[in-house]
Amino acid sequence: MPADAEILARLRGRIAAIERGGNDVRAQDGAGALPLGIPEIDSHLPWGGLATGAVHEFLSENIRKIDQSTEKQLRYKLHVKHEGGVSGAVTAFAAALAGKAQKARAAPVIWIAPRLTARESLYGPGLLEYGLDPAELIVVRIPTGAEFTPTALWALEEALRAPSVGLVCAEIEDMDLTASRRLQLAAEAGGGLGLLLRPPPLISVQNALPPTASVTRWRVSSLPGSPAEEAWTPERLPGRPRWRAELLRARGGRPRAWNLEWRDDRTNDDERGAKAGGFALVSPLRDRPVPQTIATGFTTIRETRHSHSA
Amino acid sequence: MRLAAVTLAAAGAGLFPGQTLADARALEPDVIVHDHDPEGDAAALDALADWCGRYTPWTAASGLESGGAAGIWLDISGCAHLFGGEGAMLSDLSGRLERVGYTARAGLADTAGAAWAAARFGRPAPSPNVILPEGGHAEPLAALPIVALRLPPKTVESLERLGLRRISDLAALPRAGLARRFGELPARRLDQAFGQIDEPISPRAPAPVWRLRTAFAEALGREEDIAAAVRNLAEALCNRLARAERGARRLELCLYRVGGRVDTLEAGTSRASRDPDHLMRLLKEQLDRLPEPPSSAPDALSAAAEAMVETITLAATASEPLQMAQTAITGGLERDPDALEQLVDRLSGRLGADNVRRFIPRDTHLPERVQVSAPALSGRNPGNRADWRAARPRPPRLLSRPEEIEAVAPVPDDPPVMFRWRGRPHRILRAEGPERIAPEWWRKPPPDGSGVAVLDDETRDYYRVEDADGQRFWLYRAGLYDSDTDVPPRWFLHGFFG
Repeated sequence: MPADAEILARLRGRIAAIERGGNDVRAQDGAGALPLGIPEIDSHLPWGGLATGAVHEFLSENIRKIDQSTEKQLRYKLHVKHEGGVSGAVTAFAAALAGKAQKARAAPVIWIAPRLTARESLYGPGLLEYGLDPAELIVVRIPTGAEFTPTALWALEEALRAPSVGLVCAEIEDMDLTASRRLQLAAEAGGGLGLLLRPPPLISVQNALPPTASVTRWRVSSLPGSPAEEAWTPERLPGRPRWRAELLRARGGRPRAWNLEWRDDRTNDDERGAKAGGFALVSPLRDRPVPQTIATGFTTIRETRHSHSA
Repeated sequence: MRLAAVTLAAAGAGLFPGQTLADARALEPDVIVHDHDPEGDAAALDALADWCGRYTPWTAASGLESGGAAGIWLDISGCAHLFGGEGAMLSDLSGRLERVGYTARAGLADTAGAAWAAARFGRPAPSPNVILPEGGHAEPLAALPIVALRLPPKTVESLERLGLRRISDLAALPRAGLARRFGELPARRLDQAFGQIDEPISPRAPAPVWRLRTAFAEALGREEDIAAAVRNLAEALCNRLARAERGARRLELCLYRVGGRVDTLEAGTSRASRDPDHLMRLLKEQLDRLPEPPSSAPDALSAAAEAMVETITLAATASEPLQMAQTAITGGLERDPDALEQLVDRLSGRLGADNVRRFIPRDTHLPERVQVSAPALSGRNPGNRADWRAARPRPPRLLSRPEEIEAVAPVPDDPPVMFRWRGRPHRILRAEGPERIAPEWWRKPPPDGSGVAVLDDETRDYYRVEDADGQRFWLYRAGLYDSDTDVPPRWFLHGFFG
């Protein structure tokens, strides 16, 4: 009944206003959410996209499953610690979201990362492939050591409060409930949009990270790329990058998983209407090999890969 | 071993500088001896000269002298009236120095040379400080001995052997003969002392124009009080800057403590600013983390008393013109164009300007050289989107030093089928390439080997590969397969794709 739908919508609005705590940052600004550009995902999220004035978390996948024997566990721990860092898939996904936010809010993007002198750094031309303009990017390096987490949290909070920042990405490993609640309040006060990029967990056998107050929590894993269009070597070229984006938890929404691919500016527009320079959903019927998406969210693609619930 | 300096009490017992330690011990067996530390003394003298900045910004240390003495220059033109006149100022100065533990004598005159002489050799009147009257320094100066002219000891000895004892004797001699026998130094010193030649003091820090100072009748001890006083100073400084239509780019805050220490804090902004909130936030970051000053006081109470702040100065050491800004009439959350600069200032203040960076593009083919990162406060132009566009796909993460891998690839040009990185094998299912990037033969490597590790001047063939798990890497082979040599070319991992 239309009347019931109206009542439900009004009730939802009131509950959302109570949850926000009554501040009118978003109401005045007008920009309530950052749409991802895929109608299926945007309609599934309660805000029509990634909510602004909020903090969202992105986890990296575990590269190797955990075996029972202690020896292999030790090797895994050492190995993950050695590889450390946020995976390439999460970096690319976050760069794509940052590019969208940069364009939508016409403001620079701040990226907070540990200062690892001998390791990797963000690369401008590569970020441009995902729509993030390196000229509008400010990188904040936090010296590693005992003081890393408090300093990184302080920098993140300052950036979330500042009004003219498009989006803040932060690579932070340790986060507890208190700190993330504080960050969420800072984001609401300043209207900022924050992405927390978490490296894969070091030790935990259950593969679970402790709960935080982030509005959504995703896990991004890499998938084999799309088949290329050239007819003569269709299997050998890497094609367009694909990821599996699992929405593990959302405030007011249900968990779900999607397979996404990224089309950069060089590809042609698809006949299904997916624009170049944005995300596209990989349809199960058209592209192969591809798993099915189930409503509860988790699938196995091959026996060697397991997705664990968070 | 000889004595470098003795205290007054030791001098009373018959010890003097230059005496051997054995003789000194013979005269006074209980004498306490410390090692001579010229660097420490010089540093302490510099710190004391800084502290004398409470009287005038034009202070300089005049160096250590024999016997453990040292001198400080103060140019107090225009400052004396703030302290109740010249005499009051000098007695205030020497009184404070005595309370800290130094024995001090001050000499005041029109010229630096005359003041130097007066401080050391002027006959003390009721007060131990000597003030030569304005314009009338010639007569008292003439009566002082020759050694008051800052001449080296050998020259003084030769002059005395000739029978010249007083400055008046020396001044009466014809200059030509004096210069022929003793060089130009005595003549120059005479002219400097009498004022014929200017002798400027080069102060320890250049005196900025925008400088405000507050002194307190009672010294402040609590942090909140100090912060409130700094806030008042910041507002007054911003008002002054606003009237002159300027903004501050660099700030210097000095806290002068009772014990003779000065704490200096500096802060910088990326754009000229005269917003007292913003400046106060920058200074507060550093004020909160100021370490406790070390002191040599015997107990905690007097250490705390010595750490109290009695004078604060706030100076804008660099400023720029800044027009009046029109603020919006409507309220609400509007986009503040300064907010980003202020955020960058705050982050740079706490983390260091080196840790907040932007990327600058460079026109080159080598991938690791394309991107330069520069501090955000340095104001270099980050270019625009078109400068960053590469012809082929590039990874969003690049290793600063490419890591060597073991790879198995069909010769001569095909992408690898398997590679091992950090002990883990990756089976490659798909690959694209090669993209050949030749070294820049026109560029010589820097002599000290600094800069990005361009490890080779070999041609690189880049491949974009994807392994069984879907992870995508950017590999390259350094050098070409050459059937002549036995050494196979090496493979490296350079970046991670999405």
